[in-house]
Amino acid sequence: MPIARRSLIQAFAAGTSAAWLGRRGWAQGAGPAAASAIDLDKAKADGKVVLYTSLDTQIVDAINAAFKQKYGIDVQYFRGGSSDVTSKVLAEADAGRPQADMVDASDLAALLLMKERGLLKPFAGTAAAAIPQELRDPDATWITDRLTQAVIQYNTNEFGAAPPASWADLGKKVMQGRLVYFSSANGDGAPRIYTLARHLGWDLVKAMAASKPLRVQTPQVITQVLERGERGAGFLQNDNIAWRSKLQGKPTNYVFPREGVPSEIGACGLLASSQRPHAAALFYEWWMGAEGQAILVKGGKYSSRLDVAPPEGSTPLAQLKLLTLDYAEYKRDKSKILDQIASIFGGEWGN
Amino acid sequence: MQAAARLGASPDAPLDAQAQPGRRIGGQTVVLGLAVAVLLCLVGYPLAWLLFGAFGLPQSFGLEHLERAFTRPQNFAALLNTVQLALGAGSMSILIGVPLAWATARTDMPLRRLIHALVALSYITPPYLTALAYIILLGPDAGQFNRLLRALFGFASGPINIFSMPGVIFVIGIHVFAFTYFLTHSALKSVDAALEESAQMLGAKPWQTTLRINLPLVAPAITGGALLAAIESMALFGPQAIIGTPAQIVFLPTRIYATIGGYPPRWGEASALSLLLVVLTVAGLALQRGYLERRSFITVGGRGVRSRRTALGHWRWPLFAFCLLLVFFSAIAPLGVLTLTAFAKSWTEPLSFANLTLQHFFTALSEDQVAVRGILNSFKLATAAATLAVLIGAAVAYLDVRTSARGRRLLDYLAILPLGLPGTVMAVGILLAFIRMPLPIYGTLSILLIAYVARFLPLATRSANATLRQIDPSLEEAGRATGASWWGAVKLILLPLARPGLLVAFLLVFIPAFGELSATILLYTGGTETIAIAIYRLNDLGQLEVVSALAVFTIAVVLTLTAVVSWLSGAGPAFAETPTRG
Amino acid sequence: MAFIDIAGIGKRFGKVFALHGVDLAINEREFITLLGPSGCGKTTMLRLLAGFLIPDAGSIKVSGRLYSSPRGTLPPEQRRMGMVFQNYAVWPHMSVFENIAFGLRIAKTTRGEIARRVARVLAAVGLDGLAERHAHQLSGGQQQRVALARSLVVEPTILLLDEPLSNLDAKLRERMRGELKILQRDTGITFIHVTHDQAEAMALSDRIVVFNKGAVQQVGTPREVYERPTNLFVADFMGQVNKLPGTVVATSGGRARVRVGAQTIDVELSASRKRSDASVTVAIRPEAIRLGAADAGAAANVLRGRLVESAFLGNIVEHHVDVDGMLVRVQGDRRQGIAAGSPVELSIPVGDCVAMPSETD
Repeated sequence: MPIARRSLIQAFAAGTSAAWLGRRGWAQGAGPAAASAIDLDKAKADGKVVLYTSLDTQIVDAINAAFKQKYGIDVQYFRGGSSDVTSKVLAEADAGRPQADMVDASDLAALLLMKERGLLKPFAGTAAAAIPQELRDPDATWITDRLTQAVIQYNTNEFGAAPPASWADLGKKVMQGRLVYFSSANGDGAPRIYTLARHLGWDLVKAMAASKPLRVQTPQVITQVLERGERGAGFLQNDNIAWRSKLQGKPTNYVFPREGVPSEIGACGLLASSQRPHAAALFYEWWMGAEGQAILVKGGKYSSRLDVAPPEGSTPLAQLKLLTLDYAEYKRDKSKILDQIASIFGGEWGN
Repeated sequence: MQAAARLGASPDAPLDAQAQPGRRIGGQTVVLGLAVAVLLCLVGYPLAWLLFGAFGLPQSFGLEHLERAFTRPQNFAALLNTVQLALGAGSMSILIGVPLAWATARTDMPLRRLIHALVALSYITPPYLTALAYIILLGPDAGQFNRLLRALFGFASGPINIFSMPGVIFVIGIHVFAFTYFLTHSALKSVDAALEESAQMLGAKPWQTTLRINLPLVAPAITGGALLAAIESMALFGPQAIIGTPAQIVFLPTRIYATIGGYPPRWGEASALSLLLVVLTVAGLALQRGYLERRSFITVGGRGVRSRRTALGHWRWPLFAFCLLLVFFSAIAPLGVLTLTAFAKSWTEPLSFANLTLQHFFTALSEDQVAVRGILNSFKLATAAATLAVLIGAAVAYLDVRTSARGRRLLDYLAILPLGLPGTVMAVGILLAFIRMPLPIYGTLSILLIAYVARFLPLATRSANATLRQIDPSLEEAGRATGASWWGAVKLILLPLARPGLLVAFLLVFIPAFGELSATILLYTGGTETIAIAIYRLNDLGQLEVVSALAVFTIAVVLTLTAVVSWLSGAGPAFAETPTRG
Repeated sequence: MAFIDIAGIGKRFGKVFALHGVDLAINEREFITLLGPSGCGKTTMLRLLAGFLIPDAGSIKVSGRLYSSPRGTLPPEQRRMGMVFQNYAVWPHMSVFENIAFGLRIAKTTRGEIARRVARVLAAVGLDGLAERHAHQLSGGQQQRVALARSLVVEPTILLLDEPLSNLDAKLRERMRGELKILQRDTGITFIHVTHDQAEAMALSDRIVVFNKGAVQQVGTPREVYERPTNLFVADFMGQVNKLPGTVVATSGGRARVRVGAQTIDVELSASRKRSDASVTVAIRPEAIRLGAADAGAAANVLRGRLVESAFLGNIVEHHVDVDGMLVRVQGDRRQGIAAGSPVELSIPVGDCVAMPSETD
């Protein structure tokens, strides 16, 4: 049966261009620019929210569940290290196939990059009032949702009598083969290592590396390793995970070292390309609002909101010596920094 | 003469010049043309982009990517480690595979079939699952075997640390040794007993016969198998990442993953590294082909070959114990520990009935978002990929076996080509190729589908080829002679006869596609996770119990389908140059 | 005491008896052939002699020394016998020289001695100049000579041959037959040969052992086995034979009068016929029958029948004659032409009609 070739090609071309044009239409989508403009009906019609986050899944699940219970809207999330989250968002934007509605990463540099690329949408949320100026974008594209401090977590059975109390303690000979730290292959653990090095010197970091620490992929695994007693102490562990482990009665405890505690800013923002702007904004408000942040705190995180108390039983931030990172500097020198860390610790750092 | 003139043909014209004019642009041409186009799109296009990307295109032509690929310390280390891995795994495959093959093929050791089946099992199990199992078994402090050894021998720590280069070689070795085993096993079975008996009659003692007769005859198969094992080991992203990365050891596939995973993705470097991996792979394959073909003295399955077994006397059971020990480590231990962990409340506690639970399966199969999505996506993708692969493969096979179309050999080679390429490399090529197209497939299941079809098409093509070869063309010709159109003959005569074989081809693609990791890890995104990704990611979060439940599920599916294939084709898994999941 | 003494050998594979009750005495310097159809046990017997199988019953002794018995068997590598296989089993990864030198190397012969002996045997089998070739470069006949040379170079006293000629084409086979016979005579080695081809067996052997269904049917010289078969199987296997069912009417000594169809003939009684058997089968070879009147003075039977058809076979004509409903094959001179359908007389010497027990399978 002879088939007219021409008509086949024409049909094919028509189909593809229609699909392509249809895709293009998204860029002109409207959405609320402020919390007051959120339309609850439209949000429910949007149907779901797609979230890319690097936050601990237990906390995310809790927030999502509460949100769903209140509004009946599903939250579908992708959890990866902050570099994973960033690269997915940026790569998808490159390919013209953005998926996410809201992004949250524990690496502020990532959000700065996204803002630079014009991927974030300015949104005047109600939470802005409760958050210090330096912790939010003047253009309202991103806002800090949590502060993560890097602590020393240790197994109480092994170190109950004399736990390591400072970073310098970790460089001592007696720590050989007893330490553990984390970084994903994409170099997620690098910012806090660099913070330490920047404020307290590279020699300190080199001493810690010299004790041949075990490297795991995520902070959650540090706790596992310590709980099992496989290693004695972990450095640069997320405070909320150490806090949770202690609360659960596991044989672990943690300290905020006296020389200073690297503090990481976790930030979130709405994506301009979102196809579900109302639902996304609604979720954003929930996430940053009193209820969402309370769940965050219940999970052990320090909220960025001034009107939210620190996690139960932990030291208020004002009483700690926080070491912060110059994100612009980090972003600029990232390649060199990663090279240096890689040469000290060995292994894959995504450089 | 008059009649011929009336029919419009000269008496001297060849008969087929009088063929129906409609055949020129017939259904056959369309179907086959479509298959060719799809093939070029799926395989040729990404590979071409890989080549371009390595030279810096489309940004700007340059050699700096290739240079970086060789000179940067991380990349150079990755290259060295990959080669070391290949050599180690290849050697290990000989050490394990040859004695096992000899035991099952040429002795009267008891329960040979069982050992043979267990070797197959160690190959069928996705290698990243084996890697996970060995973390549970040989993790330096909490590993079960290590605990046992410490309890028995009073070591202070360890003593075995799986997170090391020997650890990676070991875990990969117990997977790829199957190549050497199966090739050696076939070769040993093909050695005519008369060749050995004549040596015996001339006074050679059994060990002399083995050394001077058997060994030289099967040496090509042994080295061929070892080469395949070495090549395969270079491509196994799963174990390299799961065991190598915590050990701070980088390999080419994990390095490629890192260059693309960060932002901005360094395409040039990834392409150059991929090209490096391809060169290594192709060199190994060429060596294996050339070496084997030149030196092989035995035809596998030759006519009238009688093989015989050495009677071992009271060595039978000790040999069995030794073989059982080998397959224990390669198949029984990993699967066993995964199953136990999946059912245990906490994997660090000792086993007891009180410690059993079905909670992890519940979590894996219905609660965890990523896991559930992964399972559904894997089934969807594997089904779609297998269907497409069989369609294309059957078309290509038809072209090769039933027509004399020009260039069909080339097409066949193109269809077989991905067999030798690591999944990582295919993924990079596909990313480069399709990220620029206006077609919105990036970040969807479609891009995974393309990768799976491209990767596993050779399996379907080869299987369809073998099936079609067995069907006598005169059957279709008889159909055409009675008036059926080309498509009619195919539909009513060929397809029903080919159906069992095509079903096998379907499953041969479904099984590896179901558990594929090394290409998927580069191509997935939130929402398009597969079961392998779920396992990988959950492992990163340390949720070994749920991971084990997913692992057990995956293995159960793979095992069941493999058994179906076995039953349908009446034989064991086909082995020359099969790619793997990983 | 014979050179090779085979006594009461039995061999079972599962439930099936491949051999039972085999007694055989083989002499030195003898060319003896084990002959029979496939599955008759001849190859099993050969492999028992080689030492690849252990007997379930009986014993094999060579020069008085016990080689095989159910309790223990000398392994093949210690028997110092040679063996030539059906498919020659030339080792493909070794040259012709290395193939032949193998046995000498195992025996730790010196290099010079090896070179000398290999050269000599190469000449003996006619393979000069092919020492460096490999199996795939040799024809079937050449490979067979390599296999022979390989076995002969170690100077065994016994050579076992397992259907060595069956893979060769007809012309080559005939030539090799002659060469084998000469080889055996020149070397004086005891050749124990297995074949299913009775012509070959008769051409080569000093004695033939006919096997069927695991038992020895007859042992004798070619002439004995051909002319005086002990039973119908042997008669049938050794060549064409007419089998005419009949009833014994009278006996006298070694002879009897038997009614076949409506006619009576005088026959010789085969030793295997039991006295009580009334029904017998008379075996008559086609070449023993003459169409037409017998020579005067010769004791001959006469059978009358009708010529059904004649087939011209080149050197002879084979006639099919209907005798009282039985089909009798007669070989006649090729120049003798008789019209089909005409009545004919068949004259057969009495000595060529042997009455045997009818086979009851």
